[in-house]
Amino acid sequence: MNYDDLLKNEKSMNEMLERYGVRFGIYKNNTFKEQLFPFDPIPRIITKEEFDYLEKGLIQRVDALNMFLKDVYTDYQIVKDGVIPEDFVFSSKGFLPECVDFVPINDIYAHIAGIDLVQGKDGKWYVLEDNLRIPSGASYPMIARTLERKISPKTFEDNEIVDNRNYAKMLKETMDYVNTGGINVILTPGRYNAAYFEHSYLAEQSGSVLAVPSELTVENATVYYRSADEEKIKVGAIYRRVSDEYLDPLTFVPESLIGVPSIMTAYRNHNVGLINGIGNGVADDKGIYYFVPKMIEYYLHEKPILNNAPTYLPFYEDDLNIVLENLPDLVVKDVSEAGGYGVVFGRDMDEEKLAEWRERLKKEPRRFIAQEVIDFIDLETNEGCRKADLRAFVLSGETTRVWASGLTRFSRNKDSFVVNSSQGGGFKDTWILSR
Amino acid sequence: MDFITIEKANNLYWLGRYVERVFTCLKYYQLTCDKMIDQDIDCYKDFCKRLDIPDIYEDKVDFSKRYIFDEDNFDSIYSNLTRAFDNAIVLREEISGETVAYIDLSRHLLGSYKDEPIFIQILKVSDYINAFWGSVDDTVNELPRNIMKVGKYVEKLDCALRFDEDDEMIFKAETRMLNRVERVPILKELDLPETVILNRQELSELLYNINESFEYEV
Amino acid sequence: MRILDFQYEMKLTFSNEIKDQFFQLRCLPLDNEVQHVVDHKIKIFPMGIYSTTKDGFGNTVLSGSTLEPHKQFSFNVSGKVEVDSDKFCTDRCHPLYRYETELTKYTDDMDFVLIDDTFENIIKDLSAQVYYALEYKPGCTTFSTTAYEAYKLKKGVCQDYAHITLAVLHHYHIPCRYVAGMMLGEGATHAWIEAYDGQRWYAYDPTNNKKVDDTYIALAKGRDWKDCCIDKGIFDGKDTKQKLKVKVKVK
Repeated sequence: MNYDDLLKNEKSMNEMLERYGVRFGIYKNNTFKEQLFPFDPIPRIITKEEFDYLEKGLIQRVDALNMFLKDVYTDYQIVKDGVIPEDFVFSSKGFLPECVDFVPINDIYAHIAGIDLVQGKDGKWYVLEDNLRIPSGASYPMIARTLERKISPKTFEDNEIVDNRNYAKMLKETMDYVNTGGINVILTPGRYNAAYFEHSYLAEQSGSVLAVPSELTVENATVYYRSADEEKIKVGAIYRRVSDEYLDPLTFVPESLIGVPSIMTAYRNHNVGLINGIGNGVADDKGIYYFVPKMIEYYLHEKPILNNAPTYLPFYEDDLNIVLENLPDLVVKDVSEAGGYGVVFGRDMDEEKLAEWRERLKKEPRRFIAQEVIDFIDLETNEGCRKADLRAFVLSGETTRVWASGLTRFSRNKDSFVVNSSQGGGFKDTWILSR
Repeated sequence: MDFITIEKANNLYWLGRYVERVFTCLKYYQLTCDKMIDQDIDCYKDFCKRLDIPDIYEDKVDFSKRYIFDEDNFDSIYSNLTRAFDNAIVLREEISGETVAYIDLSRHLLGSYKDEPIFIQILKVSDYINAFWGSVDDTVNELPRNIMKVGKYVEKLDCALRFDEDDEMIFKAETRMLNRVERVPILKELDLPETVILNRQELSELLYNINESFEYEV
Repeated sequence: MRILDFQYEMKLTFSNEIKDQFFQLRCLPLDNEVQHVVDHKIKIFPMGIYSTTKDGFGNTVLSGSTLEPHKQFSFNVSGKVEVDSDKFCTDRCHPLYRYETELTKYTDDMDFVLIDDTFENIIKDLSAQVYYALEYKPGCTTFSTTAYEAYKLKKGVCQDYAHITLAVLHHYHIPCRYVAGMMLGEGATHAWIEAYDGQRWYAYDPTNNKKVDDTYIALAKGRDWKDCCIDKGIFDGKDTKQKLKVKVKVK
């Protein structure tokens, strides 16, 4: 694999990323700032065999998750059959009563899933997290590849790398599949959202209309785009990047000023396709994660292809005992937190802290999970070797497809395992080899 | 797409106005700077008066820098570019990322210190703006493009009036503006003159009415 | 069995003209084993459009909008309902009804006990305990008052009686739900509870210490008041004050 030419042109690459505004927003001391998302030119390379394996596993996983969502919002057979304890479904913050007994168009809940994986030093891939609400990040490798091909055509002549610029087309097809006969809209909370670049870039690339909530209105349970000459343009599908609780002030948080009133009525009447569906949080929290392999066996009668990180559920007494005994070797995660927050490592605790945490786990077993710390491989970067993960994008439409690329994020801090962009991580392009 | 929301129409109009303001004001700025070399060291005061902006400058040297670069100066070229950018950034899928980039590039150019004659720096900004309009013509659909051009020519005419340009120049700016106004359906309520008018009072009123049709929100 | 005439009217008066008003109402009586809507009429003033959908609890939700500027808004539903309280609801008891909510949280100092008797008598007795523990007094609690807050006050309205009863039932692992509705002789909306014995729902009214009979019309069911919100709305208007008047008539 030779990509020296690409590395040679790193400076040009960064200039181009800046030119096209490849940034994400952060709030510092209450003011909004946009930062460049640091790009590392050394690609992550995934062989064809590896990708074929990941692809099968990811499709299987996302299919099962979609079946799970349909099940828990209708007959909750998986709970009745005792595969998942009732508590982990119905007392989950992510379970929205507003969605009970409703099945979205074509039975799809998670149209765009972002599955976070890491590769262990043993070569095995592990799923760390499923993101079924509004996983972001696809725009970065999209634009990076577009620019790389311009800056270093030679690299792509010399290597056989699957073209990843089809994401916009895949996204459009996913939207079209649930479109009820109107325009496709990408709904953004506004330009002061952390992922605004992505919203506007995806709209531009997929030929969708980018809208803020005030540009949409609901009439007769149908969503319309409010055009300035008072003409109403019907909206058929919305790739919404506004979270559930702010989507409809009449259904969820009433104080929300950014929602579209009554959009829930249009959704429940199948008059608009929402991507992703509402209420997916019940399937991607850290508590339910433990059960995903069991879901795969339950719904698909197949052995799970991808591994979970070895996880213990203090909710079960046997697991609790293991956790209490091995706490120094484990990482404990708060089920309701996300984005790298609420994560503590046993190895960082002194005796007093350990005792404190043991008490806490005994008192609130439902609130935490504990995992073995995976020794995952370092990837080479210009700043040295760093921990990195891979967010794979799985799109569910007529079929379930895995995008032949992904977002590789790395930690910019040498000793850190946290690769989140909101916590200062950088990204790399992810190359899938075509043979 | 030949439909647009009120929010986007506003952004398009103001994007056109701010970009043109930067472009035209840079021209008048250069004329002023030239005069300040050997004719009138205080003629920047007249510049401020015509644009109706506060004269916050200590002297001509202060003016020649802070009018261009000062981010805390509401009326600086940099601030006007920032406002242009604020409108552009929410229009990416309407005007293309390529078009947005020219505004961002100009802003970054003035925002980072360079040991280079100011003239060279503003020349680059003017180049980017010309490229910006080229990109607009190439990528933007008819309706949004016409709204942007209404903004552009409103600003051009406004500046021409402020700097007391001759009738020939007013005529040219007005003709181009009316030509665009006619093609924007949301302006159809406006009372337009049958032929080109050169009465400056009436022209100011017309500009005011067009402006009223677009709300500015940040 | 009895046929009741009902009327629900909501009137909003705004201090200045508003526009883009969106509303969501649960004021159409439920159709179930106990009650059946024979016919109904809906009137909106000044004008408006609405459509219906079911919410997650199976309630009918009317949602719509009046976009034009206006200073007054009213929504009027009237009709006839056939009620037969000898029958009872046997609809599915969703697991959600086994979990308390913010409004129905139990605290240890709530001083109630369940007697050892038939299910119906347990509910009846608990309703009586709540009835005697509280003083009916409008105005001292609000929509967001929790069961615990009302219990400490020892005062409240039907909503508080219901929330406290639900909190106790949850504590004893009895699935239960909140019912919002109307009642003969009451000028406002009312609230009571239903408890599930594994087979069917038992409806009881702790505010009046009585079994729900043919004089009650149910509008919405859910875990608590929030799920059964009868009228909700938002509008576009700066510094606008609004006055809400709800009139309920059951004959």
